[in-house]
Parts: sequence; structure tokens; C-alpha cells
Amino acid sequence: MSSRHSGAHMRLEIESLGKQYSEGLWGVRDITLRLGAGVHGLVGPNGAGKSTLMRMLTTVTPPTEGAIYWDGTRVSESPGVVRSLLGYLPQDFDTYPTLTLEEYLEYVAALRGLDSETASARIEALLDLVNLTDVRDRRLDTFSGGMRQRAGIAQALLNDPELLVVDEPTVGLDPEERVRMRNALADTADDRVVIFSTHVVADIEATADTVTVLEDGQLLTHAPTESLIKSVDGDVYECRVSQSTLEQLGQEFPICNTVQRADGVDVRLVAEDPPTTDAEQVTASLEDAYLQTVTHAN
Amino acid sequence: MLGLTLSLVFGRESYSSFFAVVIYVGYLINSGSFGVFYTVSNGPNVNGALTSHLVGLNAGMAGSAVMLLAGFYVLRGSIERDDRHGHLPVVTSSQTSKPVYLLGKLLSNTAVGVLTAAVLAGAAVVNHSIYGVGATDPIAISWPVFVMVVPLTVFVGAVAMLFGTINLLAGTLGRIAYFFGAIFLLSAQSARPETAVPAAVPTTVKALDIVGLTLAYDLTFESIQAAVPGFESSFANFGTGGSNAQTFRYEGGPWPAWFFAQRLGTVAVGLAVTLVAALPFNWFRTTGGVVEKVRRRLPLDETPPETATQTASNPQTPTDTADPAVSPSPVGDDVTIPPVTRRGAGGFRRVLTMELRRLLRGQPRWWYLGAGLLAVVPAGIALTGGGTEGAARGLLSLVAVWPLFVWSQIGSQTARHGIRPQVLTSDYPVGQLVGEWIAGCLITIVVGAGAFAIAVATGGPTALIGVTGLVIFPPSLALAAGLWTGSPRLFEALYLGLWYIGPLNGGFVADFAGVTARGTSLGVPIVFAAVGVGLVVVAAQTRRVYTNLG
Repeated sequence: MSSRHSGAHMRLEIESLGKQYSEGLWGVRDITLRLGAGVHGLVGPNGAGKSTLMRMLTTVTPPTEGAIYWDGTRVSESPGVVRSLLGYLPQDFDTYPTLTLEEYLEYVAALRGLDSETASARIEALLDLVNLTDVRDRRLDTFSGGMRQRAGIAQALLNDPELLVVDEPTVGLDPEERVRMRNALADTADDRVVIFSTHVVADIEATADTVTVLEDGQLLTHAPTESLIKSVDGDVYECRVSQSTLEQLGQEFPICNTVQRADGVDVRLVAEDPPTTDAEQVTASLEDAYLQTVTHAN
Repeated sequence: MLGLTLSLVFGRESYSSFFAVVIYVGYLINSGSFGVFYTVSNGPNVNGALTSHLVGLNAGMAGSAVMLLAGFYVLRGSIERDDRHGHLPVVTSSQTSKPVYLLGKLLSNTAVGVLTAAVLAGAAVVNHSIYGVGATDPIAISWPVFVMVVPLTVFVGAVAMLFGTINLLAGTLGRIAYFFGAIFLLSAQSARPETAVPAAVPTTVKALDIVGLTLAYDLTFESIQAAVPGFESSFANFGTGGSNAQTFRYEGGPWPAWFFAQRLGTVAVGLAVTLVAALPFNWFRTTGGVVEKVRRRLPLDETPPETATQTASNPQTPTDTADPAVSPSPVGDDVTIPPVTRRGAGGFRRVLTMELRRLLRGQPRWWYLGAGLLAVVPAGIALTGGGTEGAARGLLSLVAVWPLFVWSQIGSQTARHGIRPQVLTSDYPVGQLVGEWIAGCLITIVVGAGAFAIAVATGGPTALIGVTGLVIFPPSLALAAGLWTGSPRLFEALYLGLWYIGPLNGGFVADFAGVTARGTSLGVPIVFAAVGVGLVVVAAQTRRVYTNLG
């Protein structure tokens, strides 16, 4: 078994990782990351390779090249090491329809190697956490998409994972539930590595310590959330323009947001200098930094 | 639209397997291993020289038999796939009517029949050029295949759709019911008096000539008379019973008008069944409608349809806000979750227990009732010293099919319900597989306990040979077939065929349950048990390879 010396706080190390699906078609390529305890956001456009990367981190699929190390142990040689302390919510999460929620969680607890006492205690608490205690005896085929997603979050946390990988955990949740779930994930991040993939950049900004941006299977950037936001500090403007001006601005600058008004369009964009004479500088957000990063790469 | 339908139809892996079987059948027909033959009194069986015309007829019959017995299992599920992938709401929004949608589905099913016929005819032509007698005539070989197989596909495809739209028939029960229906249709040919010449065959027998046995008799009658002096009448058989001692030579001739009418009627029935299927069909649940309303009033079945996968786009999917059981108040802010202090403490026994519970969940009530009666009543009889060998045989046959509902859940359900990522990343990626296999064996033991007791009481310890085969083989076949296909259909089709030939009809070669004395004395159940164990080992190795990242 090969292992390597790990940095004091870097538990998960990804070295030149790549996944090739067919000749000339790579899901991700040459990804190198070092992640310690905390929440790590993973963002990127559709097809950027987020789910592929997560499937390799969770041992669902083997990498074509490169390596993943957990606490210095090479995962491909000892996948059981990671599996025993892994929590995973896949993007296409589903359940056995004929089981009740509680039965399903007991089933997952057994697969995760929990004894019955520990499983019962944690199921009780996690049902509270995801606000599904009242429906614990209901069959899963009667659950809405949002309820199923919360069940997915509960099963991912069942074994008190040291590595928690959640792929689009807030999909299908209403706004109130979305905020509650992302906060719950952030609260559980003490002493564990949480990798959180989503299209909702605001969720990352609210919870993540670091942000990793992927596009076309390539790593565009990996940086602390604050520092990524700071990279566009002073470069974010809002102004009201006509439709034709908006089209011109869109060709020159990354447009972050537009709102239709009676006398024009309120536009938010990233630019080094004020794009119009009446443009106002505003506080930068992660979404601005993300769009700037992706646009620059293109 | 048709091109898209065809690409969807022909791109599926299950069809590739189906066509591989069809090609093999084409080989069997031309190598003389399989075909039409006749039994005659005072002489060996009579079979035909492999002329192009006879090979065409044989290929048509073989294609019809394959389509009747296996086509249903291949064709069903087209609506389920649309539902699972969220296409049904899209089709609904296009204001396509139910009959039009179902007729479109029937068209794609028919396309499978056309391709089946083409593959079979192509295989037959190629093989005839190698093994056949006389000149290879592609037209004479091909057209009977199309005329016989394609209309039958319309019928089988329509029945598959109808079953898919009715909750009670959408799952394993429907697959069993179809199997018996197909066998019943085949057995209708035996209603013909053996002494009847072709002209005297009753119209009802001709109308139900699904595979073409009466057609073959009609077409080859004169050739047999010419080859076998004194031949008056016989049954046409289709299988491996031929003999080269007496051979007739069929060189073609006009086909009887009644057969074309029969095939047109088959198409008409198929279209009618499709239109009937529009009644219970529901856009947002592929089961339901009139039949569902009636069913809800009857305590027949509490199993949700396996076709009713709820999607985010499904308007009938319940919503959080509409659900009174979900508290809108924030919960979770002050939750303390106890830590896990011992990892890997659960053990395999817990996995096995959970698999047992999973397999037993969600069956219809009548299944539990039947399983309970099957387990308890014969056990009582055995304890009181009752029971006969005949009763033991009947009970073993029943035990060999009743747990099919449970066995069908083995092997395929992790893929079918999207649980694979959780299983593959768990502490027991292989243990889960072994767990569901052992659970299936245990359930068989419990359901069959009474029958086993009577079998041992009446047949002595040798009856344990049959018990071994019956306990081990079905869950093993289910595990391997389910794991490799991601569906219970292959298992059900294979298993029901074996069960029909072996335990039910006493064919000792397929008697994995020890129902026949000959099968037991030859150790056939032990062979099946060994094959079963081999399948489990290969399946476990498949999972092991998949989860090994090295």
C-alpha cells in the first residue's frame, strides 16, 4: 500500500486527477487540489466535470490517471479506508420506494457499518435536523422531491462522515428549506471535509471556506472564498441602460445580473473601469467573481 | 419521428441480447437441430430436407415462438421508460391523444418485430448457404419470416402495453400471467383431432395458430404423403425430435388464404388491444385510470406500480407545501447529533437483516397470505403424518414459483432504484449482494418449509437434493441476471420457462426442484444448485471488480 506524507491539516489530496470516458473525451483532467477540514464549494457550468470529480472522490468510479489520497493513503489501493468514513449524496439520489423513511435510513446505516444503537440515535437526531420526523413512517414513494432530497442529506450524514460529498444538495428545496439545509451542512463541517457542489453560487458564498471552479473538465481556480471575492473587489458596477446599450455592454463585460425597469434595464457587471458615466460601484459577490473567472477563461 | 423512435428502440442493450438469441435460433434451424417434424405410427419421426422453402417456414415458426414467449418481456416497459425519464409530461403538453401516443408506441414495438424478422431471415439465408439443401433462395427464406413474425409482434407489443397500463399487471404478476396466457395459446393447437387432414382442421384451431403449426401441417402434408407411404395424418411438431431416417422434401407452394386472414386478424386484435389500453392509461402515472379506481376499492394489492416513478416534473408528485405532515416551522437549529464512536460495528448480519426486510416489503397482501398458507398448512400436514408423494410434488411446484415476487427483487433493484452509489461507497459493496442472495434463499426456505417437510417425509432424505436445488438456484439466477441487466425481466423470462418445463411438467432435465424421481436420482437439482453457486460467485466477482479501483 503506498502512502505519502500529508500536510498537517490537508486530509484530502488530489494529484493530477483525470477521467477519460472515451478516446478524446475527458470528464475531468489534470485536477490537483489539497483540502483540509471545512466546506469546499465546487462550481462550474453544466458538463464542467463536477459530478465526475465527486464520483471519483467517493470511489464510485476509478480515475483514469492521477491519484487521490486520504490522510496520506492512496484511495485507489485502499478504497475501504475512505468508504468507512464517507457520506455521499449523489446528484441522482433515489431510494427504495417500498421502504418507509426510517426503514431506508436503517438500511443505509447497516451498509455504513453502524450498530443498531448508534443507528437509532443518529436517525432520531437527523430526522429532526432535516425536519422529517413526522413522516418517518411514510413510504418513500409518497415523498415530494424536496422531502426526498432532505432524506438524502440525512442518509449522507448517518455515519458521522469525516468526508462528506454532496452533489447539488439543495436542488428541489424551497428557499426556506434551502437556507436551512445549507446552514445545517455548514454547521456539521467541524473537523470534517465537506465538498459541496451546486449551481447556486449564493449557497457556496454563504457556507464555503474555499471555492473550486471547473470548466470543461479543467480546474480554473481554487481559492479561499474571501480571496476570490476580493479579486473582483472594486470591479463590480451597477447602472441603468437601454436595451441596445445592454447588448453592447454584454459583448465587452461579464454581465452578472439584469432587471427590467420601465425606463431601461438595471445591469450588474464586472469591469475594471466604470462602463457608463452613471455606473455605481457596488460590493462584489462570489457570483461576480465566478462569472469573471469563467468569462476570462473563455 | 419514426427515425427517432427506431434509434431509441434499436439502441437498447436488451434488444441486442434478444437479437443475439434470434441469430442463434437462425443457426439451429439451418443446422437441422431444430425444426418442424412429424410423428408417425409404425416408424421413426419424419423431418424435412433443409430446402429454402422449409427453412423459411421453420424460421417463421421459430421467430413466432420467440416473439410469443420472449417478445413480451423485451417489448414491455416502453411507457415506463418515458415516465421514468420525464417524457410523458412533455408528450402531454403536445396535446397528443392517448390512443395516438399508444399507437406510436405500438409502431416502435412493431419496428422491433421488423428488425427481428430481418435478423432471423438474414441468419437463415447465410446459414442455408452453408448447411442447406438445394439452391439458396433468399426470397423463399425471408418472406415467410416477415409474414409470420411482424403481425404477431403487433399483438404481443399491444398486450405488453396493456399490461403496463394496469397496476395489477404492471409487475411480476403480469409477467407470470402473460407466460401462462402464451402457453394457453400454444396449447390450443392440441384441440385438433390427430386424425384430421388439413382441410378438416377446425376453424378455431386455425384462428389460434400463433406459431404456425397448423400452417406447417397444411403446407407440408402432400410432401409427407409422397415421402412416407401410408401416411394419413399427424400433429406437426416443432422442436428437436426429428429423425433423418424418414425425410420429406418441401419445395414450396401457395400458402392457404386462412393463414393470411389469421395474421390480419392478429394485427386487428393488436390494434384493438392498444385502443383498450388507452382507457386505463394515465399520463401522470402509467398505471391507474378506470382500473385503478376499481382496484382501490378492492383490497387486492398495495404495491405501488414499479412504473410510477415520481419525477420533479410529474404534476402528481406531492409537494412540501401541500403536505400537512411536514411542519413548516424551522426545526434542526438546536439538534444535537450523537457522534459515531465505533465504525464498522454493524456487521454483515445487520446487512442481511435489512435485505430480508427490503425483499419482504411491498408485496401484495394476497402474496403474504399465500406464502403463509404455503409455509404453515403443509407443515401441519407433515407433523400429523399426512401427505403423499403426489402432494409433495404439487407443493414443490408451487413453492418453486410463489417466491418469484421476492426473487425478482434480487440483483436488479440497486440499479433500478438508483441506490448503486450508496451501495458501492458503503462498507459492504459485495456484502450487500451476498446479503440479498442469502435473504432470497432464507425466504425460500421459510415459504417452502411445509412442502420440504412433506417431501422428506414421503421421499426420504434424497428429497433434500431437490430442496437444495430449489433453495439455491432461483435466487442465484435472479441475482446474476438482475445484476447484469439491471432489470428482473431476463430472470423472469428464463426462470418461468425452466419452471414450466421442469417442476410443473416434469421435464427431468430442467427439474431443479426435485419434483421428478428421475431428475432427483440423476442429481439434476444438485447440478442446478452448483450452477447457482457459480453464478453467485461470478456476480460477486463482477461487483468486486467494479468496486476495486486499483
